[in-house]
Amino acid sequence: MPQKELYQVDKDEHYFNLIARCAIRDQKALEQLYQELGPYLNKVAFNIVRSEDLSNDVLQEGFIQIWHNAGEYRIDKSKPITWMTSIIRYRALDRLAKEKKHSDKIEANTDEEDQLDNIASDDRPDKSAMQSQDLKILLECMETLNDRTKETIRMAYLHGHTRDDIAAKLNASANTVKSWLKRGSERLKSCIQSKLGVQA
Amino acid sequence: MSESNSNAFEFVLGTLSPEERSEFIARLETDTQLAEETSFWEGQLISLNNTEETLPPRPKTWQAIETSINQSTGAEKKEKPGWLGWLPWGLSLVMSFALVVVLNLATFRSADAPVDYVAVLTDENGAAKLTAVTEGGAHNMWLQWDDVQLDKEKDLQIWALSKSDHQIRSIAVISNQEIRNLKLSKAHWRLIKDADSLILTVEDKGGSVLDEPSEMIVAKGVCVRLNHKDKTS
Repeated sequence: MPQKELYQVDKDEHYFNLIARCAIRDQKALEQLYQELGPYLNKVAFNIVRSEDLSNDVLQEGFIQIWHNAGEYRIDKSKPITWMTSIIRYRALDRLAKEKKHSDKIEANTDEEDQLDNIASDDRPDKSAMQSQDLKILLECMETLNDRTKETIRMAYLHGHTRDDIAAKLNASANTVKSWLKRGSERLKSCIQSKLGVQA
Repeated sequence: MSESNSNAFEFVLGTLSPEERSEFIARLETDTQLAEETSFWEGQLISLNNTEETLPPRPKTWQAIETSINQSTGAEKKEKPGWLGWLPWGLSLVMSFALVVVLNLATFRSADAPVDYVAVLTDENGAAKLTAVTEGGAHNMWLQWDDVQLDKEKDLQIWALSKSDHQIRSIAVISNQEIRNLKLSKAHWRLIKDADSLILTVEDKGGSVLDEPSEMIVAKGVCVRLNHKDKTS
């Protein structure tokens, strides 16, 4: 097994161990998860809600949910970090919808644009081996999409923009954005599956 | 490509309208294909996040989390059934390793096989010695060993302590720790289902002739039935 994949397995195992300990109410395990992943998850939340107050609220709610749902986590369904990130993202999206501050955030933000640029590039700063192989495949497949669809996906996933937000920003209708996403998802999935098939 | 693919994609992205989102979440409870599509996209799109980008949380955030879970844990303690009080090896200690094993074992068991029971057998100091995970569909028991010293002239034996009649019955005799997968008979599977806990002992070669465990107890562990319900968020 390549070294990077070994590293990933170790990391997955480490986080899984901590989630498992949360399932049996080991508070130290939750604290360790929080110390190790809290800053990353807080940033994920912040990217969506664009407010430190809100991202900390989301993080708090998310970790309480991780604590309560730890017993239901299934390693064969998703990697630990995927599971935790999903919890935080969905919480952040819910919070964003509630706060209804999205229209303010849709305004061009230089940090945000820089971030999108970074992600669009193959030499984006994430050197973590934890996701390197998955990232490589995703980025290669994203490159098969047109720029508009790529940007739409990033705006939605990383920053929680709705179809209406994206439509306003890209001067299109919400239905058109929906079509881009539908076609984008089909193409992306087909590409990812073909690359995963080649690997297997 | 199916409609469920694009719906799952948009659900993970967060672009479904509130109504579509509510409807999607309701469908997720029963539609396994939709759940798989959602897991697929969650697993793929997470790569867009940069794990090296961080924003330190405020100190009060952890304090708030701690306060909240301590309140809920306090409530759980009040609801804890009396029988947990006398567990000889300490439920929290034993369970602190329980689900850990599922991952370790996932490397050599089928990823799709649902785990039914887990027992983490620990020594008197709380150190995990053996973790046993069973999967009822195939009547398999996977074993994860941790530093068990065994004389060449001896065997290990796994026993189940029955919940219903409190009798101890043999599950398997194990000659070495290379053995990581046991095929259980129907009778043994019933013993697992009825087990309060598992016990690991050192016995003479071939196992206990008296059909009862020796006093050389290596480890014990509560047998826990796992929840199969899948929720990724």
